[in-house]
Amino acid sequence: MNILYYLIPITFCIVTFFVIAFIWTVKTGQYDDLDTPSQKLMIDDD
Amino acid sequence: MQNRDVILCLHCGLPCPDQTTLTLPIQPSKKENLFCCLGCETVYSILKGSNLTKFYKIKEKLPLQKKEPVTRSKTYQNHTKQDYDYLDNSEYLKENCPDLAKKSLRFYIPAIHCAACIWLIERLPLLYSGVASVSVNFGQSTVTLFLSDSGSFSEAAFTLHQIGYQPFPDSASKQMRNKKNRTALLRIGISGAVAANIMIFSVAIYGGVDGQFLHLFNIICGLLFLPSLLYSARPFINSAFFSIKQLQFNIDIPVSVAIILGSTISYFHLFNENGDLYFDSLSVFVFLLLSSRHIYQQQFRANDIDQNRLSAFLPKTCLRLNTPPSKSSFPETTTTLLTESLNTDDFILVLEDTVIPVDGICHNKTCIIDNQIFSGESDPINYQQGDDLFAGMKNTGQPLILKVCSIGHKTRLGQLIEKSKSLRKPKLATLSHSLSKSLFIVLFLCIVWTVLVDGMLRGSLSEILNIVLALTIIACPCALALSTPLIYTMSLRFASSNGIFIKTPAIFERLNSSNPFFFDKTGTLTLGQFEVNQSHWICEIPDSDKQTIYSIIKQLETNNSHPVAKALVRYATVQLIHTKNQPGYDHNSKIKNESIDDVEIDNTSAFHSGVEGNYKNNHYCIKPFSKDKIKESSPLNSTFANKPKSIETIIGFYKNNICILWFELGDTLHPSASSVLHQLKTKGKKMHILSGDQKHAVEKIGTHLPFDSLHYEKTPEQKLEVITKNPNACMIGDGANDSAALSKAYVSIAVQGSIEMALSVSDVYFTVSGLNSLPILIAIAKQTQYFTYVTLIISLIYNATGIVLAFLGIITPLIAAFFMPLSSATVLILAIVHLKTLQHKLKKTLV
Repeated sequence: MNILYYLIPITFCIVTFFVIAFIWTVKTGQYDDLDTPSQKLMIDDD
Repeated sequence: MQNRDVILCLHCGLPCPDQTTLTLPIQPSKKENLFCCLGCETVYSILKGSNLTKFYKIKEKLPLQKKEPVTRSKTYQNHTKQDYDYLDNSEYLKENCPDLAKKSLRFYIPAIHCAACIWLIERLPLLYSGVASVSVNFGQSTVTLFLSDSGSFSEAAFTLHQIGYQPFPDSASKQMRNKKNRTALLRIGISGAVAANIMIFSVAIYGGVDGQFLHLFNIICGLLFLPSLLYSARPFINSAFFSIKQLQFNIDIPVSVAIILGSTISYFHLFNENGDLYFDSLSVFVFLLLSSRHIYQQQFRANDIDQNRLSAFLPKTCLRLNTPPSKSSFPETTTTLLTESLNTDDFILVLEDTVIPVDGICHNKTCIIDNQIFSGESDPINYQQGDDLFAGMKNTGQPLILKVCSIGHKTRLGQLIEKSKSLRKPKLATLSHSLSKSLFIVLFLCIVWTVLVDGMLRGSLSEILNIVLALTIIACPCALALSTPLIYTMSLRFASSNGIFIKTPAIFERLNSSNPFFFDKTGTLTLGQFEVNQSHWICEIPDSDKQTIYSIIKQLETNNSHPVAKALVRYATVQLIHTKNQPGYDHNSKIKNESIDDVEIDNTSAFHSGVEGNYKNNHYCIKPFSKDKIKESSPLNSTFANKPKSIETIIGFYKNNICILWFELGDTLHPSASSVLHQLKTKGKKMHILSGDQKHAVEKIGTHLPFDSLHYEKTPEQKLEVITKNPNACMIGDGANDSAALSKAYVSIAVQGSIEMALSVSDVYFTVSGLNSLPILIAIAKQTQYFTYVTLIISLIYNATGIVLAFLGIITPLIAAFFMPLSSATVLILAIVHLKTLQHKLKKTLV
């Protein structure tokens, strides 16, 4: 069971990383517009 | 319908009007380049000039994504670049530009409806080099423009306008919306991360961890729950506190009670190292509740955007006189200003054919004003010096000087819009509201019972706490309280995307039970505008001379804004094309539109005296046809003798004071009216005409349509009397003479025309002319009521079973925390099903 003493801090590190990543995506406005990119997919590049 | 020959517009894909009614001369040789209107043709030529015709290729491949925008108000069709000048005003930019250094501005463009639109708008820098980049938000129909150093916003906005995307400035408050949205997302994300991680440890705890690890895991759960409690759950607790302060019931109260009670007990147990912990249930509860709330709010918000367009009625800028006007001379210098920055007692200049931006006092001796926005009547009205003029009226005569009285929201129009906005937020869903209140009381009684009676019987504190917490969570009437507003919002959104503006959702219920339908005639069943019904040549005239005469008529009346003049211009234009397309017409004939530009027009704009002008030494005049002058032309006399005195106007065309041609002008039945009325008839509705018009005019329209009775020559008071006799009457009207009847009707519907009346006395306003919206509205109302009941019953069943099960101790707080938001999800799914079926039904009726 001693492995838990390593695993728990590691999970916390992973959680913190992903939460920070999520905060970054929100703050940079990546969820502001969820419709346009899907529409643009239909257009071929020039 | 003649489907065989319908030619689709190359630009917008709408059917081109019949060639005879087309006002544009079209060349038969270029059959492939046909357009429905001048606007489409202009857009096409601009795109072709910039090698952007790929737009059409992209468009071809796509199904239409959004509804076509609602037809625009007439005043906005003739925009010039000056209309966007205010965008370059430094004051305006300071207020609305979020970051001045970046030079970016957001616009709301309702016309965006497919991927091809996005493609085209993003190529704006190719059309106007002052734009550095463009970003389109398809969901919100907004566009953010980033300028290069040399660019100007007015140029960019006008370029957008030219290619068919009329931009409306997006107010700064709307830009705040994204920020709110981001905070909501952060709350959801964090509570989700918390819930998932607490679950990892909870599973271990349920799995049977013991000893030091049990305590460690519990502490970890308690720590992990903190951000969820302190950050994510804050909106619930804030709103609960607020409503307690106001002594009002709010669905956030039971939610907050559950959260606060649960976490206090849990932390208490954690410190005491015994008893149950509810961190898992609570974190899941917060996460799922926030998510469902977020989806709800997005639905409400999507509905909100279209409503703000009403404020776009008034011009943003105006011309202020630099010096107060003197009596004699015309003012020389003016400055272009933002309307908002005007002061009272300033003098402004309102040019011809522009909308008056503020309330003010007329300073001209006389002026001619189109008051359609307030009265619904299309005839221009004369005003005198010192008369009050209101924002939203249109100056159709000479340039006008106005002394400013009130601006913006203080104007009559602004007040009306404000008033209707506050009316638009009625007590939504009073039934579900009172139900959730009583549910709250039931819940409270249950808790008291559990604590007192159960507690004495079982004696175990943790068991009682379990039941109490499960009860508070599961009995939370979220689904119940939100179901009806959500369904209504979906319906309102669907209605407004189809050009139906609904003031209060209460009419959904009323419309289903209203039976006799009363229709006003003029402007509702009919087009409400003059058209040439009939024309007659008094003597034989060769075709080439007819051409000249039509050209002269067109030339004489072009600058006249009277409805009769406009009808004559339309008619003459059509006739010109018609004779041109006839076989045997000499295309090289010198008589063309252009060749008679030298008509010397001595034009008096007042209608009753008519218009007159000279051409090639002949005197021409267009004026009302007087009967006594046709005694010489005897065959006609009999035609007139049989005619009753009518609303139809007879206009004569005189050459050197001899009448050679007369027109009969009148109102015609709206093309949509007949099919709509028959449709209503099959649904078993009774229909009556309620008109102030004369008997024969009403009979002319009414006898061919399935009306049960015709009421004619009614004064507004009599109309009101008829309506009050029928408590369930639905009144559909437009003119000012209907407003009394409309205000008393069970359901009142205003058709295109008068905005003042629509906003003040009627429940529904059709922005699309004609009655086509009526069956759509009825279908919406019927389905809305059905779905409202379904969702109410579902959420009631859910809450009732939940309370019983929790009361018996069968449901644990964790399961309750899962099921609570699930019920909201069910309601949400039902609402979306509701919207989709509406869309499906509409498609069916259109095909």
